[in-house]
Amino acid sequence: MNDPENDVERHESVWLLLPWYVNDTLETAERRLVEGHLASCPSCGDELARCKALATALRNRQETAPSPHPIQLARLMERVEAGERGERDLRDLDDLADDHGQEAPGASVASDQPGLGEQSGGPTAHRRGRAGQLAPPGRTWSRILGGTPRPVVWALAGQLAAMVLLAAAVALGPAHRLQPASPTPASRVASRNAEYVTLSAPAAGAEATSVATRPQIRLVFAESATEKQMRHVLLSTRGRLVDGPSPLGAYTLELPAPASAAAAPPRATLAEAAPDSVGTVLTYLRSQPIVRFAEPVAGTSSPPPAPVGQGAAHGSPAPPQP
Amino acid sequence: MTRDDEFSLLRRIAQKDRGAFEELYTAYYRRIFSYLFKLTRRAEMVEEVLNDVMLVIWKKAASFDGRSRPSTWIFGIAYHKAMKALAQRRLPEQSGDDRDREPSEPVDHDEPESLMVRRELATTLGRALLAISAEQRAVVELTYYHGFSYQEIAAVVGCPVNTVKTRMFHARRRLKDLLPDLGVSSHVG
Repeated sequence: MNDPENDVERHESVWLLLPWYVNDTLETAERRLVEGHLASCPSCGDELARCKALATALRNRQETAPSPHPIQLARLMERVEAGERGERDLRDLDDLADDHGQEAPGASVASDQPGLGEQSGGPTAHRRGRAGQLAPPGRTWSRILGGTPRPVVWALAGQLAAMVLLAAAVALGPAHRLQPASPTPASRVASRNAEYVTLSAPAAGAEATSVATRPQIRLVFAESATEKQMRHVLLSTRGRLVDGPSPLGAYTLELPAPASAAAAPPRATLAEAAPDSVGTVLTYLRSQPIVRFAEPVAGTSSPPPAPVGQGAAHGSPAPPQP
Repeated sequence: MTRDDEFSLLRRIAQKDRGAFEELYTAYYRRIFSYLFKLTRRAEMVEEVLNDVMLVIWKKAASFDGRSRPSTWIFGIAYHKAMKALAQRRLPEQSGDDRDREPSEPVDHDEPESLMVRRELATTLGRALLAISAEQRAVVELTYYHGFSYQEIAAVVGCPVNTVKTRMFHARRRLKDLLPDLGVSSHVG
């Protein structure tokens, strides 16, 4: 068999197949072809050695993948359940906004709308279509808000946040911007906290005592973190921002009140682990590349006597800070 | 987990069994995370994409026809979600073809560098893998790290088998330039 053309073809075929000879996934005929050729081709022999070395190097890399986190699973299941209820997935909206370079307003979450991706006619048609959805039927809103888990509602609120904050700014006048407590006269602090309570809590009196028992975390993001990245991380915690940004970029995140006491028994499975406990949230936050700093705010992760932690804002008026 | 176990998990997920879904999540998390990270090099993107992948599995488990391995199907979903996420990040002047050349996705120096990325970049191998395109890197990882046959990789990626071989061919050539000592034996031929 002295057919040079066949030899060249065979050499090229074998050369291409070597990686799958190395990982042992070739079928019998091709494996025999490779082995037969290797017997007489030193060039392929060298290449085989290189492929094996690459395979070994790749497999010997330090395994850097983390284990799944209960918060991530909980968040995933929320998206699953939201999908099962027929609500449009907000990540689809994010992708849509990226594709068209526009914000997707919360109104378009309604599941009885035609597929947004199917509209044609360019940006103008989209804008018209969305404008028409800014005042959806009340039925749709109550279905969304009533049956929607908090993070989704929070995300919807986030989409309209600019409008809300602007309205609040107009209503409350100047110097109401959320900031950690800095030295101010008691009266201004009291009025500022009253404004603060108006922005963040429906009923100042009812909320005042319970707010103090919710755990809070002070966190700082990396400078280059995008709003989208911050939003996704914050949504995972199911908390809400109650203070910040400070001039140095610190935010205060308030977590939901823990369902049971801090001394919960260790959970057997991932799904049962308490996703809302402060420790779990802290671990999650610190694992995020965009989070530079995350610490519990002193005096908030257990029931009070301490009325005010440093910089924390509560419903009741705070004494002047030193 | 055996392949039969995985088949039955997918069947149960098709019937909207939440427990089966969580089992699959736990079983595949690190593999998919690892795979997505190696493709995208963006640790914070990986979690979002991973959840997107899981959501597709939830919605489409009923359409898994059982003719390929569950892992092939799952990695196929992960591959496409990763490529889509990368495409959304790409600068307009970059193109993602298979030519043997510089990386097709930008290494964004403003991105916060996660510990994972820094560890990868600390090694010559890690830097070399960054120097090939995402499509080429996918084939290399799927072959040597995840152990797929070239036919399965074609199914994962959704391309002809010849394209798989060509991408691997170009990747090998580039890696040989960047890693000249890899696999070189000491004896004189």
